[in-house]
Amino acid sequence: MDEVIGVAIAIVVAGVFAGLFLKGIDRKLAAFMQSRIGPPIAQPIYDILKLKQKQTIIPSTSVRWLFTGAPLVALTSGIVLLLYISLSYVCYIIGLQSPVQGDLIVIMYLILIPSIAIISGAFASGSPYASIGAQREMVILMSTELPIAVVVLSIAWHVADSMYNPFALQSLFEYTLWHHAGAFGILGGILLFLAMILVLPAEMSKVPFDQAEAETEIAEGVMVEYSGKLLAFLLLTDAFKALSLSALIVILFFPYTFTGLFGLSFSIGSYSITPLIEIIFFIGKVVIVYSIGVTVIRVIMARLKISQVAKVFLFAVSAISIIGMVLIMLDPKMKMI
Amino acid sequence: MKTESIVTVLQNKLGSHIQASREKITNYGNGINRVTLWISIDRESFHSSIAILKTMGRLHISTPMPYKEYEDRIELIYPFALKEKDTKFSEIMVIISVDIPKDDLKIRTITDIVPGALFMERETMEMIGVEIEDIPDPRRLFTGNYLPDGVYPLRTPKSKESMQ
Amino acid sequence: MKSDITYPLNIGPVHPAFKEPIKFTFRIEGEKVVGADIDFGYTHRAIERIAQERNYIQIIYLLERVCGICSFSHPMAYCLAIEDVAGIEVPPRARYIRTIVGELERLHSHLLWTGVAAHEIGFDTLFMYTWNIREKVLDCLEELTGNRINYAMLTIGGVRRDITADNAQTIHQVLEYYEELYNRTSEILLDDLTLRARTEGVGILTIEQAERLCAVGPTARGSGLMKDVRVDYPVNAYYEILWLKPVSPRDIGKEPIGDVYDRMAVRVLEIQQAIKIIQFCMENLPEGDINTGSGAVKMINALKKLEGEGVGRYEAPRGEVCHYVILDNQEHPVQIKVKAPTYSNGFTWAPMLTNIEIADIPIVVASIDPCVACADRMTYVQADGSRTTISWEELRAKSIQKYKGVRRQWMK
Repeated sequence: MDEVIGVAIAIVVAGVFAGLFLKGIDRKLAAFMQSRIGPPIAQPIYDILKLKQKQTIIPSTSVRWLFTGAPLVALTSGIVLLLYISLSYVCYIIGLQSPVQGDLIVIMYLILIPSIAIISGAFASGSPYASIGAQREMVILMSTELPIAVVVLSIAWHVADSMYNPFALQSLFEYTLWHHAGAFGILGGILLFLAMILVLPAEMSKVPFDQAEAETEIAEGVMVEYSGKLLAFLLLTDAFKALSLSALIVILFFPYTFTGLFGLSFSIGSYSITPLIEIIFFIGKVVIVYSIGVTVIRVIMARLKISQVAKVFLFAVSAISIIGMVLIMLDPKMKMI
Repeated sequence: MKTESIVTVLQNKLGSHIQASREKITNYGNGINRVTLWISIDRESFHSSIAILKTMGRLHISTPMPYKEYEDRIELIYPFALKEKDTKFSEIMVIISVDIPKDDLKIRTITDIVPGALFMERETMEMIGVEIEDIPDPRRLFTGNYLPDGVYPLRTPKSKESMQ
Repeated sequence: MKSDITYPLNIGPVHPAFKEPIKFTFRIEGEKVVGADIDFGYTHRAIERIAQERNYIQIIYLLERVCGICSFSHPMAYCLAIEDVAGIEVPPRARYIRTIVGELERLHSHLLWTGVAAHEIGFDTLFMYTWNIREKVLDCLEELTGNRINYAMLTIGGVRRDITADNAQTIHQVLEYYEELYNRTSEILLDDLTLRARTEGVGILTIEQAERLCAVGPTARGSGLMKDVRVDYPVNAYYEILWLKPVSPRDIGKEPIGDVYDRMAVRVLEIQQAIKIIQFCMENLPEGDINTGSGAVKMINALKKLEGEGVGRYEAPRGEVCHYVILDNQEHPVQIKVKAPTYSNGFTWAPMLTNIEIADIPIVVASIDPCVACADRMTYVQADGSRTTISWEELRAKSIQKYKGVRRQWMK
């Protein structure tokens, strides 16, 4: 049990740096695609260090307690989100028995909390830009809800055939989608993955779904009044969210371990360094998912209008995920026949 | 388009209200000419002359109104570009000038005929101090609310004194 | 009774969507814009007033500073106006060189606009791409004139620098470079799905509105109004290019409705047109003088003795630039009136900005390629909150004092 607490603390500490580096890699990669030099990969860390020293301005028109409290709630829930998603998985890959199973329904709700905190902070700031940004953020939240719910449900449906607990994250480590499904199931799985990849930029507020922060329209929208430490909290929340959402996609779709895939194990002398390799492999997968879902998409697209976003999610992405769900539902019956 | 025809049409309709007219034609060869036509009109028939010009073709107001200041009057200049037919190099500059006595600095708006002239008229009001009657939007365009009333920045000879 | 559910939204004077200070006040209903009002006047530099105290040659360089991007067009219109008053005939080679530099400016201005428009709708990759390829034409202009912008190329009665054989070589290289890239660039700009989703049917200006509101340049042509000073009015060497005609979205087989997409199409097509015009001018560049040969002092002395009025019109990349000068036997003009394209086009924002979404505001505002500094060129001496006005001399003394202070700080 003590070891698990140690792992949890390590996740939070490493999560700060990993999340910020993830954003740095995103910026560097985008710069490379746009034939620019781009900032150093550690730039988000420098940003946080700089903001720590800056004055925090609280607008006189704001609701003070809510305005200052919201970033704290957002950051805390971001940390909880990361812990809840990755603790059981990290324990699994380094070979510990995890006390937490990881409930998919709880994750669905946890994903909402940082966004809701940021929305309330934005409404409390009293700025018209922030209000518009907050309204847009709500629309995006509501539009992405259906695809996320469908994805989670279909995966649970798939797991329900087995002896594992259908809503536990842990079941997926052993009972992966790709190994235990027929052709229909794999096709459905690809569609679900596609839907989740499209949800990722919307949850992260990145082009083409960055309406809540749209710089040229509403000047960073929800964040417009935040400065100094409060802004640093929001940036950290963003980093945690980037890490946890990419980790969620990795766990849902690619929970394979390095040793499991290649059947190798590493050690220096008598110490086994397999856990270290596994964590590096995990972070590598997260970087790849984030680069595909956020960096590539934001480089090749223009920002959509909020009405177009609602249409994209409520019709296109929901349709993709529902088709994926139907395919997964059909799959076991196919096998039975 | 022949400049004489414009002047003739205006003279037929407005008679002696046309005070003077002159033209300047620069030939560029191949029958291409740059034509500028200056017409002085008195204030009463100014508005109707613009309405007549508008019927002749596509009327475009080119710049905000320059002016010339004399002892007792201000000459306000309206530079228009008039294009009658859709051939190349057929646009001519028709420059209408109107005399306004200094004790009664007023002129009727042309925004009902050329709506695009609104900004130019607003600028004339604030910079030169000519009151435009019936203008749909009499607010200042450039100087906001921080310029005191009665100061007209482009009225050169007097503006320095009035500013101090 | 329907209750009033609209709320005001100020955008500007300083806002990331606008590159220059201008203030809009919108009435918003949900995400819809139901009313718009514009407030100019945040970048006054008193250029018309300063021009009344400078001699005729100095004014050329003053007017280059009206706008950084149209830094050829404004002095061009001024030179045409002065040449009109004085009856100076410009040598043919000078007219061709003017045309070449003017079209190179159009090339870089349109590429710049494309980048800005892409940035406004969050398409930063396109922004980086167009500004990257724009460097080539800026380098070419630097080699031709000595400067990337503010070329100081013009003088009354001609141009100041000739195009040498080396320069001609560079121009040919640049034209080849853009010809190669043109197809790819126009494909991105005109066919990209998200770009089309954001620009089609947005910010509509009908042809009737464009005509009534005196729209100029690509804004008018995007609505299908065939208005182009280069074609309507004899300027520079354009009247010797027989195939020249105003571009319109019809050239790519689309009936113009006057939305942002049409205005973008016009600009993309004008990039191609500019390449063709420069090619024509390079092939037909006549030999001979590049100016009238009289120096600045002689020219000022000749102009001092003149009386009269003149109009100079020129098609800047953004639309018609028109200067009106009044001369009256003095060393400096009695009055010089500057009209920038944005001045005419600013009013067309009113119909464009109604019944759009908030998200469309930046791209619709940018679609006329606004140059607020150009429109705002006029007077005024700043007064602070206490509403005291200070004179020109005082202001000058104060600025000198201030900059001395700044210099002292740097020295430390």
